[in-house]
Amino acid sequence: MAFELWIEKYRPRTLDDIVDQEDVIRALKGFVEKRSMPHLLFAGPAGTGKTTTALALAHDIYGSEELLRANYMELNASDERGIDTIRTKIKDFAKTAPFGDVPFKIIHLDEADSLTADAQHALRRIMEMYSATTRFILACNYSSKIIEPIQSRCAVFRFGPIPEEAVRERLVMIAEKEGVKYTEEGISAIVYVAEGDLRRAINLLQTASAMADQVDAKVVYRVAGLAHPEEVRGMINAALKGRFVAARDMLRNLMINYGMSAQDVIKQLNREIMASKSIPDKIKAQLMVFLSEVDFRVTEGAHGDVQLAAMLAKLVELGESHGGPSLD
Amino acid sequence: MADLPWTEKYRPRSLDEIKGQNKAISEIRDWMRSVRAGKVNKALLLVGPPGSGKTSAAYAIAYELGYDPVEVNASDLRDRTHLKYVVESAKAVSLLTLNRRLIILDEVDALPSEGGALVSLVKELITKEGVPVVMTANDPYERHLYEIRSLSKVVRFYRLRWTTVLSVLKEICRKEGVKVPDNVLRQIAVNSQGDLRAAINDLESLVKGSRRLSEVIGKKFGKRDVEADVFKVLTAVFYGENCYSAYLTSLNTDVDPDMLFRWVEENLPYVYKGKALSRAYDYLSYADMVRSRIIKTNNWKLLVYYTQLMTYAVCTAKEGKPQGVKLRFPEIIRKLATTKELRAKTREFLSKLAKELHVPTKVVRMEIVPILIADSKGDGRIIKRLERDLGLREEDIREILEDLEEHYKLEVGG
Repeated sequence: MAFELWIEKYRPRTLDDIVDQEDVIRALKGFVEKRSMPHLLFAGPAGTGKTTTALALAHDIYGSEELLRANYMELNASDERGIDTIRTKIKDFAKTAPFGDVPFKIIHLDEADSLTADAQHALRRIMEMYSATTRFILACNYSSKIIEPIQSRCAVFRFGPIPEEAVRERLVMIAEKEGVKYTEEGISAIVYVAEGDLRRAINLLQTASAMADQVDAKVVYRVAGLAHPEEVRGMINAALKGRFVAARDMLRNLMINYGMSAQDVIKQLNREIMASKSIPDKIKAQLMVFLSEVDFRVTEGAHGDVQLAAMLAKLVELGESHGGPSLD
Repeated sequence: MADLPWTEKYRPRSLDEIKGQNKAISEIRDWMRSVRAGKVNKALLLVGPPGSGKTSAAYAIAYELGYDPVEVNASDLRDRTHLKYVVESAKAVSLLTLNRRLIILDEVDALPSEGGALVSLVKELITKEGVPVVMTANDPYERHLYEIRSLSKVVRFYRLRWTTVLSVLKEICRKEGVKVPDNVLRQIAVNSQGDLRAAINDLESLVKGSRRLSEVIGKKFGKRDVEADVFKVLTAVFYGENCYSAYLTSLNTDVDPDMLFRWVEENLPYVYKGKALSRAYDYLSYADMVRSRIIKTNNWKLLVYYTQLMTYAVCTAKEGKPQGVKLRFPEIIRKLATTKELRAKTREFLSKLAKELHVPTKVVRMEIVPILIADSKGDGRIIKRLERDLGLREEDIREILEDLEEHYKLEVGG
């Protein structure tokens, strides 16, 4: 494979190569033998092999890279701009017959649970419209967020977190092959931080090994802290201390330079505020009310930076009346 | 030398001094080799954005070849007898220096009506006389350049990265013995959008005191008279006692409501504090929501609320007499304008990578970008790979990563 990135380099290519999720794999192999399958719904947390399994399944059904490329399409619901662009892409892909001697095309729609209920109903109709030539593999974190009519049309497969031992084995295998120097504690730290997310674990290993000569626990914890921009915390603290302009600058930096979406900032704000030990519960409750309103307005099309700046002004006001607390 | 403008004073004299165009320079050297070997069968057409080093390269080529540069301009092309003279003199060695001559035609894309004359001149010089010709153009796809392109070896100059611009500005400051704060140099560099000439001009006028930084930086945005209007409205909103008249003032100006909104928002926290700030921002966020409803439902009757909320309502939110401050240009508009190109590149890069890796773009942001940043500080092996696999230039990838890095605060090594 072309990439030097390990998640791609060490991605299992066929169902046989996949060592975890045995129950799922056994069932899927049946589809390969019969060369027929229903729509599938893969549910489970990030980094547990949903995308890899979908690719491997398609690979085994089609039998060659070339046919895979021609007949397999991957979409990410949260990266696309709404159901209309998804519809257009599906239509363009599905309107022609499968290429080569294969029974159907496969459309893999990742993060399907990020679609609103309305969008999912539209998706259901699209699935029906093209069911003669295509099969859908929908992936989601929570099957409960997928509407009933779609669930009932799919065979549902659940992906559990990868057991710690399996994550460790995989990491050690890659480290050995890549000639990475590591300590036991370093690997344990990655396993601990990744919480069963194998993709994150492998990425952490590669980041740590690119940053230091030896992957030890210290490096891993430093690397793991990087993934979430510190600036969100810094922004909240600045606002609580009454430094509004500084906080607003950080917000703009996050959104414009770093390119975080308003929804991502909102999500992280929520997490940080909820987890804070020093912000009084009564303030937290007020902030929840405000944050939910910000979230709603942004979904409705308001400017994320303006709405969030208003939220920061609220934090300044609350900070003043409570003697400038900080997150912890 | 002291009186030369800095853009001339610090113009690179040799090809090696031209920054950030390594690929172009090596292509130029190929062409120079064939000139030296006496095989002039193509003209050289240097294309690229303003201030990326094309003209400097043209003169440096002449210098390095040991030829005398002869610049031919548009008026020369219009005058047939003069043109004949140019060709005749180009063939001969210079009587002054005994050097041969190299013809430079600057900005040929700006000469649409001379297209025909241009083609015959280049043909004559190259094919008949073996005189080397170097042309520059911003846009090589102008229609009248169609034939020229086929007569030329086209070498592309890329927009300079702001970090490259910054390093040149720093060097100039050092040579001039002047001290300019790093953040100011940085602002000039970013604002130049890769136009080194513009950046050097900005720096010179700043240092020599003819313009203040805010003017240098702000010149690309907004006109003076619009600003005067904005100031009138803002003064009425922030300091006026009568809020209704503040609203009326906004109706009597030509300021675009979205623009006015950003001006109010930018300056609000400098004028209002605490509870007043939070209340006023509440009104602004409401105004913003009204705006999204207008666009969504196409209901322009709501526009009046948009304007009223950002003027009248914000005016009522103040407590006591707000402090007087100097009004400033909306930072966010500047930011969006100066980073637009880079942001588009970053988006493209992240989504291409997401596709190749079969992951959502947020995973690329959170997990892959740190690997690439660390790689860019080391042997850069992964990035070189990406250049091939994604069809993106290594320089662009590095620029994107440099920009993203600030947000990760990576320390490599240690």
